Amino acid sequence: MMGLQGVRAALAGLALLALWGCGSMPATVANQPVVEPKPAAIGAAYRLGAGDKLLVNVFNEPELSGPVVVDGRGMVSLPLVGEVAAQGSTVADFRARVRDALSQGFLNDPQVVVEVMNFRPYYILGEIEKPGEYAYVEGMTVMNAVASAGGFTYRANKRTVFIKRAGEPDEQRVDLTSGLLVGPGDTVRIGERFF
Amino acid sequence: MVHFNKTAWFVAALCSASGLAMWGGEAGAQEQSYFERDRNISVEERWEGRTSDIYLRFGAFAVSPQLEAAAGYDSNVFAQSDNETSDVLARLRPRVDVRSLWSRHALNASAYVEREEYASEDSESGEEYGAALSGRLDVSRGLRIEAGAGYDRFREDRGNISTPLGAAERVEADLVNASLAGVYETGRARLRLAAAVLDFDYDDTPAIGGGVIDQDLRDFQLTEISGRAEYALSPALAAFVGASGNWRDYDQVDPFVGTRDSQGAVIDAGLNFDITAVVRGEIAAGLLEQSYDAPGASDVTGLSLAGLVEWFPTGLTTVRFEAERGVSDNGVFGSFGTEYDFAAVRVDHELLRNTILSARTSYRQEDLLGLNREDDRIEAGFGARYALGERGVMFADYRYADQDSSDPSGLSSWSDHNGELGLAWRF
Repeated sequence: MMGLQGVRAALAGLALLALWGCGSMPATVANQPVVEPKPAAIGAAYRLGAGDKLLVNVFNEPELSGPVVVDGRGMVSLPLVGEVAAQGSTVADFRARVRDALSQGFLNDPQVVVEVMNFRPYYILGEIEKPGEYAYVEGMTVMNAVASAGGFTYRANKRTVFIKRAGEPDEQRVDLTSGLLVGPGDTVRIGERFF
Repeated sequence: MVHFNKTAWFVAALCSASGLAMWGGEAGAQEQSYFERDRNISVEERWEGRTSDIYLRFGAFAVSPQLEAAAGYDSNVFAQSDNETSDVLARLRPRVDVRSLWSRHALNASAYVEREEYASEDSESGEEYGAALSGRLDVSRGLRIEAGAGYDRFREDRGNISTPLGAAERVEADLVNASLAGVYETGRARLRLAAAVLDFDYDDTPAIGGGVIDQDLRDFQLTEISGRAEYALSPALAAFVGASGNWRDYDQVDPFVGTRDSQGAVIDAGLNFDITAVVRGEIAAGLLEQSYDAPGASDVTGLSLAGLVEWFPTGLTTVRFEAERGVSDNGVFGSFGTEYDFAAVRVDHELLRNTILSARTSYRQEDLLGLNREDDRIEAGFGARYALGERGVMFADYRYADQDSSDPSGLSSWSDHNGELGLAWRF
């Protein structure tokens, strides 16, 4: 069994590595404090769903680490523990669930880091030149999405947009502003104008 | 009285062409023309573009047969000042267009027949028909020659000022036309020279109560020669100067006014523009002079105006403004010509991709030269078109026309309501 101090030091290094945009951070020195890894970059409130691609890192267990995908049933398959539910969970909740699963007869106090590698695509349709499915990028706005889809058609209503958020049953009509965000799994519909 | 010599005009045009062709900035190939006016697309252009790919292919030619059928109502069939006669009518118009699919050069042809059948007023029933042939020869990247010829058999509307008041039937005539034009473009300069000949041959028409109204006095030949030199200040704006001459030669001498022959010229300057998402068009102003050979006839001189501007307030609406001032001919006994002013506004709105709403109004004032008579005509109307898939169009149209004439008899003032509902199909 590894010493507690060494474990803490290694955990600190992994935590730093998990920080967004800090991939080049070198391995930490043994005495640096543990930093709670940041949740998924788009915010702690992000809910996982089918199609999300996650990176699960279990400290000192390379066989248990690696990329995984949330399948259509909202489950993630992991070595040893099998399927773990991810649909509708925050990244923090999922991480805790994985840690708990590994703790039950497999590892002693496993240190788990989860980050989202690729988000679910979003969908855009309606009065758009190229409707379809597009890869989500963090911080994407509806205007970004429209640009990615070739721009508005000449009949597009540029004042309001209809968005069905991932996990919600109905679309909502929203004023189209420059800061209106798109989320992974969202369906954006650009309406038609008549005048 | 000024006379305009056709030969002199031809020589002057050729010299101008040579001179301007040597000027104008960089010669040789230009990837993009400074005179393209395609930054905006009007509602009408978009509507016509729906069916541009629908045709029958025969080798390198696209053949587009069409059939249009309509039922209509006319509240004043004979354009009478009182005791108006109304009637309903059916109209059938088959048409075929042929165009080449070549990458260079072009050859186009068209032919049509239109039959109108009035339910009660059989005298107004009749047909019109015509055919046209046109071509374009792309000599080089900057030089092209355009030519065309056509024949039309047409019937004058009862509201035409030249229609004799005592005519039992609508006046029919033949129009034969031919044109030739050369366009040379180099860098920011463009030169266009054109010539056209139109020959009008009017048939005598039966008179109410018997007899025949001679219309041969109206037979004439119109020859036009024009030239225009343009310079592009930017890809969206060009300035131009132009000149045109016209010669009107009548076959017979009018016993009332003498010879109706005349010659005239217009010299103008203007702007041609296409400002993205805002407005495009052309406006020109200049001087016109028309010299009449009739004894005692004074020359007409004055301002020449011509303008056609399209405004795009939204991508779904096009507003079209048109204005013109010039001289023309008429067949009114005692008059040797017409000086006119014309203005019109038309609004097209694309309510849906397959539905167009339109509204229009126009005003035309005609001063009949040689007579103490001025006619003012106001027209207004609205309509709708609805596409039935790719090939069919249902249309409805209403037009109101009101003519107020200073003719002392009062017979030339009238008003008329016209309505039409129809279907057009492209095969």
